Amino acid sequence: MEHIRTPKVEQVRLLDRFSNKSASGTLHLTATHLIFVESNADAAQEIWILHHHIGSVEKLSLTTSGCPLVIQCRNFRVVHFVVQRERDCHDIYSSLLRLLRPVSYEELYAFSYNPKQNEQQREEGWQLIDLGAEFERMGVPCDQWQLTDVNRNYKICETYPRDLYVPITASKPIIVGSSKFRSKGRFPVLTYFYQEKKAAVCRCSQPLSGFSARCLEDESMLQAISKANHNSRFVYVMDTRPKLNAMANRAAGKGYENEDNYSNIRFQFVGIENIHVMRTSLQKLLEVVGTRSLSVNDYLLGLESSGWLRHVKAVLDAAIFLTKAVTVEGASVLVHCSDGWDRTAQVCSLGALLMDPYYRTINGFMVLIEKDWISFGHKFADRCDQLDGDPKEVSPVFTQFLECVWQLTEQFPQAFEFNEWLLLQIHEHVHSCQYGNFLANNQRQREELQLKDRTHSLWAFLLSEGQNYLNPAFCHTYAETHPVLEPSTLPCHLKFWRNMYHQFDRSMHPRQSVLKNVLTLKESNRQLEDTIMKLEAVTLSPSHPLSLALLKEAQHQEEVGEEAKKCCSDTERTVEGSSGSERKESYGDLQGTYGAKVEPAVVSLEFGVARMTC
Amino acid sequence: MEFAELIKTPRVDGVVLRRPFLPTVEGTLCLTGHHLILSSRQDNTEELWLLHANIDAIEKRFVGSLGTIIVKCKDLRVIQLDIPGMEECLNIASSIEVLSTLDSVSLMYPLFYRPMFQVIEDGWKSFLPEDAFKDLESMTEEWRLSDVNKDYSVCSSYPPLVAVPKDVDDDTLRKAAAFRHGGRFPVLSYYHKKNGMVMMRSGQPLTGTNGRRCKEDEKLINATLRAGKRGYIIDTRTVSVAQQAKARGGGFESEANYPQWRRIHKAIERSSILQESLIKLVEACNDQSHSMDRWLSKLEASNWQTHVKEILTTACLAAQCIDREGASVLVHGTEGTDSTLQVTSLAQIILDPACRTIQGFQALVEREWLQAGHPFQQRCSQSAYSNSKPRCEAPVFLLFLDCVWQILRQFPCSFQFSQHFLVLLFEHTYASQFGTFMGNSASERSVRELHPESHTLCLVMDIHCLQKVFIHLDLFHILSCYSLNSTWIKYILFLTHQHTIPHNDITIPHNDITIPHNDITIPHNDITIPHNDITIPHNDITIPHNDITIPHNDITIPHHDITVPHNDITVPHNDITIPHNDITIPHNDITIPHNDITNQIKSNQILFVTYTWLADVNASVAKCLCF
Repeated sequence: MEHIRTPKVEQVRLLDRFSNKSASGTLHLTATHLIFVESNADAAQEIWILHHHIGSVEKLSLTTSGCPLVIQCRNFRVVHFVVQRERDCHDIYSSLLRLLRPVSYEELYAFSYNPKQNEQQREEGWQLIDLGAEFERMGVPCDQWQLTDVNRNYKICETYPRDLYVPITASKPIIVGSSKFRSKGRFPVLTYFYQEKKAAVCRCSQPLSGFSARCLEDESMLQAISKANHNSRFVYVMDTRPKLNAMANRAAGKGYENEDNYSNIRFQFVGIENIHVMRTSLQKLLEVVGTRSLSVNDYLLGLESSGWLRHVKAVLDAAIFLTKAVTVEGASVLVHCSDGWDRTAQVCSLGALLMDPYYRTINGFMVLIEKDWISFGHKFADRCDQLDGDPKEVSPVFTQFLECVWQLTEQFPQAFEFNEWLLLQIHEHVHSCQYGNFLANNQRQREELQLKDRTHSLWAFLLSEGQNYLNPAFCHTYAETHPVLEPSTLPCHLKFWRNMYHQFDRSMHPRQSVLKNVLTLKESNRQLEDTIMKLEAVTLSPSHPLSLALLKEAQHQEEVGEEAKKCCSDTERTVEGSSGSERKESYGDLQGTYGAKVEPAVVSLEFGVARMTC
Repeated sequence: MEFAELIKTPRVDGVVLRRPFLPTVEGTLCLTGHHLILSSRQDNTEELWLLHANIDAIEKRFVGSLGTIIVKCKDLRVIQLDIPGMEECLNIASSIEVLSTLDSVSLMYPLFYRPMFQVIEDGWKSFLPEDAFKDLESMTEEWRLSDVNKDYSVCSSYPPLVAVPKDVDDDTLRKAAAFRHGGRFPVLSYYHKKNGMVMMRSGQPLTGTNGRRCKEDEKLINATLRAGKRGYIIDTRTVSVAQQAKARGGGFESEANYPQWRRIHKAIERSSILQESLIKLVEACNDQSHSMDRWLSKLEASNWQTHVKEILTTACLAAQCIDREGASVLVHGTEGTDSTLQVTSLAQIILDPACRTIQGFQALVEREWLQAGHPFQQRCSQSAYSNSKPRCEAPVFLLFLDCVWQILRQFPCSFQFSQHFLVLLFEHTYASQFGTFMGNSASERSVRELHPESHTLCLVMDIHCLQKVFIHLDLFHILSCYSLNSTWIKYILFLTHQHTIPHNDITIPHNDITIPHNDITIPHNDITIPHNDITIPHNDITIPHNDITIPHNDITIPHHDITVPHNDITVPHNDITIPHNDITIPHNDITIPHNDITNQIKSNQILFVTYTWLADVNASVAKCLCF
């Protein structure tokens, strides 16, 4: 609180990004949020911006109407305030500058966030996902793969989790030797086991091969992986980097596997660009789409020059290559990039998503993120800029993964149990630092911070409102007929994800949403069923006239209910602000605010739902 | 001329058909007078029946004695035929080339086609101007139906009956027609029930360089204005193009002579440019390089979406003038048969919910395109693959369909039909067994009706066939997942009471939602209309007049002998977007009197949501596109 100089500023104007509209209201600055409350009493809109979401604050030069303050958020919200008095503006500006740069983990919202749960509920939240059980589901340990305890104390590799699965034939010395030959000690371990063909997807970091170095233990490690799969004589080694980058790394004593040294490997570059290229690419994209009065041609040219969709396509192509190798050829695959925590995580998790219908369910998707991203040490803290760190380490790698998943949901509308909203919500909370799941860079740091004792789990929160994330088109039998997805990456099938990058720009979204209608229908259907039950009960009773009266009453109730529903369908269903369960009512519980207001003649649809369908 | 003379090799065995995303078929290729047929002559395999009229271009290739013909169709399909034998291949290719370019109207397939289904009603009489006028009469008395054009002498591209202001006599119309391009004097296109404002369309005024004027023309359009009100003239050309038109005898309405009208110029391109744009777009869609950058730059270079956006903007503007400004509007371009019709028909879709039903949309196409004299035969004689130099070809109607699709994407719940309906219309404009889109105007079609074979022309796509297929299938699927219908039926049956039906016995199958494939018949774009706060006025959707059909075999209701009494049906209100009616429940187990249910529902205004929201199609920018 000591950083907040002015907690409240009145008569602030909020400018719309893409039109000349504006709203005036009051700006509140709290320890965790920046809140804008519109003063218009009828449709008082509230915007809650978590400090952790703020990527940058900019104070523009003074104009006649006041002092403009532009805030760009990591969830792609851009707000443009005009504060009347320059002093107020400066106070807010400097407070924010301090607040959005937390220096220690203890300052993060997760440590103060308290969603009115008791201790037991909180602990249960953390127990929802059990990776040991997940490996068991895949059929590991088995006669070829076992759990190893070499990393029990994070001695071999501190960015890996404690529990690792390796081939049975890989002895401890081989593991230790191999890890010394791999960047950051990230030696080859199992991440997904394709039971049907006994083929394994393994991951690691680049070898420290330089121009000529070799390591016998590493070679026998790959040999062991190859041997563990009787279906194929060789193992694919996928280097997800462009060849040029990999070769440049050799000068620094790193590099890639030499096919001559390893028996039975097939080596393959797949050419996904590095984190710096991705960062600039997304920045360019946002710049282009943030332009006012953009013409169609400028938009298309901008989309092309940003290269973002090209990168998305490259990631998807790599995942498809992996999937084909495993499911069609039945070969095991070893995936790595430089350190094996960015591109490797993308490719392994997308590959698993294509191969295994379980990961296309809500629970399965959480498990997938927990396994390939959280536990294998994707550096969330650095990539999402949780603490004031090196800006060169920041990169939208995880966002890109979510986008790839979204592209798949667009191509296979029936295959996924969850809808777009889940992806958006996860993205929101990766940056919100409200839950402990994504804090810090690896499991070891998380244990040191005692996150499981001091914070809440996002997964519990998401599951508690699981009905919001259900995809109505999901078909349970689809997984049986299409266990493996074969997406198309023809350029015309990759779309700009409006609902992510324009999440908060209302005017950008379609005005009607099929999904919203379906959700409403589902609810009314449920009520109808209830009525039927009631009526059934009534007819069983002997007094017939009474039952008729009740029937009329029930009908009347229905009518009232229906009208109310029309109103309620206009209530907000947004995931705005990340304040989560504190403002749970903003999720527009279908039951809420019946009859609160008459249906407005012109309905501008809330993006919360609108964005889910397009 | 006999077709047989043109067909040198009527039959070849062992031909292999390759199509993208579909299994290859090996079989016998046959050429008939109108079709290219490939059949494997086995059960359960699909046969290819391709109208020669649908073939836009062919390419031949030879590898040894194996010939390959690549057939590029007007509906943008590309198929490949591998034909063993050099001679056969050359014969087939030359026959196709001749047969696909026959000009003679008397040889066209619609004159030979005999339908396999039962024709329920005479499609030529489904959407008569007289009927449309009856609706108008019920709303206003300011208009009359004039038969000044009954022998097509005043305007060859207008239908015999047109709606004009009541106070204007036929002589005035004749004089005004002489002042308008192609004799297309201003006629009523749309009457806005809400405020009595109208939209009219015409050809450009023939002012010429010396600024000719025509009192009758001024009188005619001023007759549509209320006292003290101003109207808008929307010229679909830019100011400079309109200026240039003066040199060729055309021009635009000057402020001095039309003081009560404000003129607005928009920039919808001329047809030759649109054709070029389509060719580039299709080329981009067929690009084999799989490169993201190439796709985007080619898409950009095609300018297709720019055209779509411009047309939508203009239509929104017209709609806004009528609904928000409460002003009457006159729309014209040069001839008044292309961009004018795009704007007037789209504005009606924006303003009038009835146009968003299947029947209403067909009526709109009939009224605003066929009757209004869009030269379909000229515009659609070639498509994007043709090598010959385009003469009058242009994807004007396709652009209109694309615009409708864009609106449909933004208001998915306000349309009774799905995109499949639009694709079907597109296909039939280029090649069809039906005579609907033959000819260039009502007069040409009526002349042909005198032809001995003309009775076959009297077939329009059977509405009832269409409805089964094109009712918003995607949405329907989703709803059926929630066994919406089951509950409804249960509920209806319960209220009418007597029997309850076990809860889980009604099963509705899951239809596959179509997954996008490289289906270039639909442009993969999602344009949203530009930035300048143009809004589409809201409107109550009226109850669609059509019948929903629940597929016959999908519902199995046990319990025999359930009879629903006629009059007791009450259905609660609900927010349902799928227009219902005529619930057909199979077999003899249940008899619900069809009409009764429908009537009941209509009269109680039940079952349907009034979608009061065709709210702001405000102004998102180009970037809302997805492809």
